[in-house]
Amino acid sequence: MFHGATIPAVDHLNFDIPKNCIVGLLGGNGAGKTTTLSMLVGVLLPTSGAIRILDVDMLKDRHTALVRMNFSSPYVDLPQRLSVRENLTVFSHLYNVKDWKTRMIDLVDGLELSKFIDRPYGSLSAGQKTRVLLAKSLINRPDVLLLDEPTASLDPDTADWIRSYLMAYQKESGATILMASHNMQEVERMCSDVIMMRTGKIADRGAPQALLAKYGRDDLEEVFLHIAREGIDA
Amino acid sequence: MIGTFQRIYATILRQVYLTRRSPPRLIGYCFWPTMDMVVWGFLNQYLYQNKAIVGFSMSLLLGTRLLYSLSERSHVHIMWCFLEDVWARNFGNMLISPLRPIELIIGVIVNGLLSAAIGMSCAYLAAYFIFDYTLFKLGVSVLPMFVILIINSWWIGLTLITLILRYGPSGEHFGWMAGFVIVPLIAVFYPVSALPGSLQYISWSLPPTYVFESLRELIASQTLNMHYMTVGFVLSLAFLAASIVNFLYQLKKARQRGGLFSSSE
Repeated sequence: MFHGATIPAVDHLNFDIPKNCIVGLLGGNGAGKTTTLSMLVGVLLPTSGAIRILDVDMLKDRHTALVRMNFSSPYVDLPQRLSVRENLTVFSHLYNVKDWKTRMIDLVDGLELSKFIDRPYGSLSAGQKTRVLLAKSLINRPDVLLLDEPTASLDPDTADWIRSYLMAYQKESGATILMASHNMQEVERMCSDVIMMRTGKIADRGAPQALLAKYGRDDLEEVFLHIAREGIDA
Repeated sequence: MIGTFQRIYATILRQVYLTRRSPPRLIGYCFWPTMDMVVWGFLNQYLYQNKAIVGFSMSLLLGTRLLYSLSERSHVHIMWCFLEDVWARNFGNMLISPLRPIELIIGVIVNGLLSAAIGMSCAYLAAYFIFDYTLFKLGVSVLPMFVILIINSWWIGLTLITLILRYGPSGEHFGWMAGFVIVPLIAVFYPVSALPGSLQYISWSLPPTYVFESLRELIASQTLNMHYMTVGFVLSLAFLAASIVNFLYQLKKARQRGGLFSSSE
């Protein structure tokens, strides 16, 4: 419950996510996706309840888990005047990355950052910035990666490239990715499991194919609209 | 422990990169304390040459002003260092990193000190070359004064950061006001006895007052008032402890309220 609000932003949210998979968090504006992610990383304290990630009680000792987690969100950015290299160096030290120079080279090669590695972050295009933010969120090879609309405001080509990169990272590392998105095709393509949220609650959950079958629809967008409108009708 | 040092180092590294990339920022660090020193230096010289005040010495205004600048620049830079993250919308990234609040505090304090050291070096050089003045003429007695004033700048800086956490980025206005609120009360330019009775109580409750009153005594009688130094030091530590507790409490409240991610404007 946010300070001054009359209804809770999220309510009776109860879910667990298995290791080694990509889970989508779907929902319309104000459904509570960002609030949920904010609580998971500990920048927002829930009024009540418990959060455990990587066997760590996040409400008591979140910093122990944060070394093995990372997060990317359109609500946060990086220092604009620092170059890409400088930003990544700072974050590799913040996350105590042991072989940080090797890790940086891997990310620069993998995400194709070399052409602008020494340019100030603030001078980059939206697509380049997204790649740098992704590099920042992968700098510590996270076991748990939380992404809030990772391809929002990107052109289809760049967005597709980012999706492929994330899927490859997940497959290679065995990490767990929880991804909030508005993009149904993205979720359908990347996620093995989908949590549908509506007005701060979990409206439904299942594999994309299972949800399509359950609602008798052809794609997740129709399922999404069905659930969203059901909420309005209710 | 190594992790702690590495994370604090990361916050310092970020500030070093920022400063290195911005010559105007570096000039700004030096400009204000140096100009301050030049203006006060000439006033000091004028008063001294005209014997405007009985018992006035070259050390009096310049010395107190130099020491006060050290404290003021340090607390301003602590706030500034924190605001850099807020302005860049990077504070959310810091919060979700393994950087613990106490490491964040140490990081901003060290950054504040380094930035203030750059500025104060320029001011000291200006005082030396233009007015042939150095505080160290007074001997090692000024060292405990430095220590008390530096600790003092930490709690003021932390309090300002806490106000930003509480009121959002607009809380920075408190930072620009802080110096003006504090300076009349801590006997920088005149002794505590010049204040009205009720304000004297407030003045004696603030650690820097003991430093500036000691400095006056030191200039007049060449003896360091150890009682004042002890009280000033203990009070500084007490204020610092209180400011850390307050910061941690307000950080927790901010996490309960939400909006830390979007605290950029």
